[in-house]
Amino acid sequence: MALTSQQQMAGAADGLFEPSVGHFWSLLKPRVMSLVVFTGFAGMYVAPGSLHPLLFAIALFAIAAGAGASGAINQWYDRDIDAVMSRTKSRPIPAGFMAPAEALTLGLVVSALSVLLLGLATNWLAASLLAFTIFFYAVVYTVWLKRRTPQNIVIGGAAGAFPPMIGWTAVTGTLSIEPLLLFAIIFMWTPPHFWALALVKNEDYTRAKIPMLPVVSGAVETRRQIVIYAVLMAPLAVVPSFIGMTSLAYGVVTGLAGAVFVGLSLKLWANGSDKTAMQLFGYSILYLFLVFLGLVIDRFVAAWVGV
Amino acid sequence: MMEQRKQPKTATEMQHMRKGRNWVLLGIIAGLVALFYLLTLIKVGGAS
Repeated sequence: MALTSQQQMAGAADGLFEPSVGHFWSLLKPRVMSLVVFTGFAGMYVAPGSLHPLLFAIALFAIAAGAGASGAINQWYDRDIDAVMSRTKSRPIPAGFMAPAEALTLGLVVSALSVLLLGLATNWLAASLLAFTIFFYAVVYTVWLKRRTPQNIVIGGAAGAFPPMIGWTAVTGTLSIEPLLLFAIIFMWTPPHFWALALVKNEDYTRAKIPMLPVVSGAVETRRQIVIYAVLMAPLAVVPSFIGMTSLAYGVVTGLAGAVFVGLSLKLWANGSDKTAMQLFGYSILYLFLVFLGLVIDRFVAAWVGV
Repeated sequence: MMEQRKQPKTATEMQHMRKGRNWVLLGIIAGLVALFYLLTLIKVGGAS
């Protein structure tokens, strides 16, 4: 039986535009999730101690699910501003594929499941950190900071910095200087990464009335802040070599990669072009990947040669 | 680019789409049951 236009309209109001499994998947922000999985894995892998392989996999799955769940809650809350930004307007809720309540339900249910799963598989300290991370991203960043202050991604960046710490704690059951260092690296990396993109997407953020630094303080001040954060971040990534966490080779590689990061920031400060901003944005992703891959390789080699 | 809305044109089509999604949901629930079962086995077995 064909649906009448009245039925279709009534359906539209309560989400008749049937969301596919792909829409639910995209609600979990799979690209962000992949970075969380990678840094969480690195934290688990380099932590002293061992986990049963299946528990290791379950813990990683739980961290990924928690990240995805907070992404779903973020998309539920931000549906109004997502609709006016070119980068986000095709997300499932603003594009009309999904009722907001469905997204919120998914986010809350997956959040609870991910914390429970991590707690049962590893320990409740790691699970508490995961719960706090979800809260931090979904409430502190999304609800409290994002629309209020240009420091939104500076403070909110902590949410993205927690995964290696959660991974480490899942294996060891305790917190120490090493996971705090991993946290600090990502925390300092986040502002230059997002501000490089914000410089290019400035119009989008202005239209959505999000007080990103380029919108509030202008491009020149943003470029200056990018350089400051890059200069503070680059040495941090070398510190693992000096506290006996990694080999000297790791320090040399991350030192060189950090120098390139600072060099690109300075280039952006000097020329202010969108092209350089996008170069820095792209390189920042590669840089973080290198830093954490370096940790994994260093640990793997150390175990292999029996150090 | 805004994606095209995928709307069910008939009640049968709508039911078909929902049925497909429910099967996926059932698969996820079954997967979680298996996961918690394995988790219990490992924990009871004494793995840390």
